[in-house]
Amino acid sequence: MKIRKIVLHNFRQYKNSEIEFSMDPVRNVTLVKGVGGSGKTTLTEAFRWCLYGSNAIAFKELLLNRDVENLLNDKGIVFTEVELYVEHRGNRYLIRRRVSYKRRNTKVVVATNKAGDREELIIINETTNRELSEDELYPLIHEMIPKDLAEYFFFDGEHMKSMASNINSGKGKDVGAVVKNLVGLSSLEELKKHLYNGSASSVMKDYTVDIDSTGGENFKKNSQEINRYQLLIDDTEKKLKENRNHYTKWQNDLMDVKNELANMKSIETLMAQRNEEENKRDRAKEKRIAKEGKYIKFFSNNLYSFLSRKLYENVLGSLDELKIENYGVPDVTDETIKYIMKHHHCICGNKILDGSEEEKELKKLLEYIPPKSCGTMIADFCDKAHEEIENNNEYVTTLTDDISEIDELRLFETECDNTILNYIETMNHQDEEVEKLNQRRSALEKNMEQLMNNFQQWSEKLGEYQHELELKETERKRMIASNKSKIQTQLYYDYAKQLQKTVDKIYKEQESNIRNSFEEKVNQLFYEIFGEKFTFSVNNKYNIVSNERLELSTSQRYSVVLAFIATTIDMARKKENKNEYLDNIVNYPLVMDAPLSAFSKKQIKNISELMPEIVEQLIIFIKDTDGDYVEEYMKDQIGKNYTIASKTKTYSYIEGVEA
Amino acid sequence: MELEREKFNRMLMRMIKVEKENVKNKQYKNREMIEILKGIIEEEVNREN
Repeated sequence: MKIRKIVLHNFRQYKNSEIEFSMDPVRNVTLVKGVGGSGKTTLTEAFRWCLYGSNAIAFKELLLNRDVENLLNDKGIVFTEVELYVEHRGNRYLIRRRVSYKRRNTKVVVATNKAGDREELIIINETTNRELSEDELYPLIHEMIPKDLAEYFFFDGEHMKSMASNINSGKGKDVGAVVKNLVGLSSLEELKKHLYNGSASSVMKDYTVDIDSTGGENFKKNSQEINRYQLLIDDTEKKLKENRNHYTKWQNDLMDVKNELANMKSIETLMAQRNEEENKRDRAKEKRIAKEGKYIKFFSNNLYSFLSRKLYENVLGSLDELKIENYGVPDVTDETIKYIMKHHHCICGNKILDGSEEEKELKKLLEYIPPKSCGTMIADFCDKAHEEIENNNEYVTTLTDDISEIDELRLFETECDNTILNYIETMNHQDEEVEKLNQRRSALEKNMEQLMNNFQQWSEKLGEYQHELELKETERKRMIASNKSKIQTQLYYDYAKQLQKTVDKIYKEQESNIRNSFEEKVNQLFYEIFGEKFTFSVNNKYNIVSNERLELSTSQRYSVVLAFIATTIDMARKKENKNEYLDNIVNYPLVMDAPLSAFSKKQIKNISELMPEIVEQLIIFIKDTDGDYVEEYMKDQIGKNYTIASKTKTYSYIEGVEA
Repeated sequence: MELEREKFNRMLMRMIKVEKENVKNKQYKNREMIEILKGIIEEEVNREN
């Protein structure tokens, strides 16, 4: 389909405007420039509204022009209308959608027609001069551009933003059906589903029910068993397939991680050296802390003695000068003497008489022996003092040695710290990357091992189910052999089953080829748009997933979206991708409300050169400043060139410039 | 009973053709398509070569 012209009547800010689009195969671009708020997005919405109605556009208020709305009186009726003039499969069509309005009390409301419709759609085949019947309208539009593809071909900034936000996460909308439709896989997919669709209705199900209905309980039971095993097989195969994809992806990821780690071998060596240095430092630190503990204990335990040493020496000197003798009798105390004197009888047997010389001697003893024996105490003190002095001879030396050893250890730790710092500076945070890669490698290896175990279990189960299914099918054939009408139906079933298997195989091959080409093309076009190589893969929802570990910038994301759109159109158009199994594709125009502000001048140049090459007809609504660049870069492709003139907020119109 | 390759291939190509048409025109619903496909199988099986 190609669009010749759009005519807008009272459609939001456009009272009466029309744009003729370039139909030239070489100068295939129509450029419409406008300042912000002049009505570029409104134009994109006008296409969607005309083809698909109100549900297809984001604008939910009255479409009627505000000035016209304000002038509408109670008796009047006004309408909003968009006409698209298109060429499709050799015919010219006029597609017109109209909605009428009237004033009820103070409010302007939609006026329904006689049939009760809020909107009227008519299509006239201008080539045959025939108005299409109601039944023909939407099938024709579907043929021109299916509604679910419309957002890709009438494309605006909001849509780009939402698509861009889903890149990387792989959590985007499932566009698999849309892309498969575009590249021509839909009919195979439909055929597959019509032949066999699990427990839902299908050709195979019909034949099974047919045989069961005349075969009694045994047939039904057998059929249920076959169905049960078939579903188990489908489910297990699906699980195996999905996880095989995961496994392959993880395998590739692991290879990437290992390659990256191999490239960072020097960093790993530095990390090992740093770790060794850290261990050495930690061992020294441990030793130092133990030494300091011992030092403090020794210091505090011996400090009193050390400080008393001089005192001891002085006292000993003084005592030496005094020459006090020790008159004490070993093991005899004053109590012993007092006891002898009280009993007047010595331990040797002699009597002690009062006033005798013996008694005088005893009394004299009382002055010297304990507790009054000063001499004994002095002697004891002197012994202790000598011992303390002797012990303290090593105190200072020991402490000095300890301190020097502690200092040495501390110095060694500082040296280690400096070496570690050098390693850290040399590594320049790359060690963090290596750590992350190593963690990723461990996680991947763990996941893969787990999955391998699961594969083993699932494969065993699959074998069991297949064996059971074969047994049930043999049993069924034996039961059928006795009834001629059932033999015939079974033959139909066998064909259907074989067809289903063959279609499934063809579909898988085609889908895999298409997905590989799609992925290759997205990467190539991204490079052509963005100017730098990044790698992206296409998941089973046909979402583009970045293989880069870094967060993508806005312009990178937008480049991916453009690469995706361009790839889809390119694949749909490419003749070499077509074969007997794929659908016949019509060409689609691309209408872009292009948000190019996120791109650099060079990238706008790339986009300007690429898009007209890929698309058969390109219609761009663009902000005036970006439009100047596009105008410069696309000068040989622009067939028609317009500017949106905005008189007031409620009144815009198109000024044309023939290119 | 053995399946005949020639009949099988004819069925396959006819089925792909009708599915392609339906993707293009959205003429038939699921149930109708299943009946059409069954018609193709039965017609081809019963066709005299």
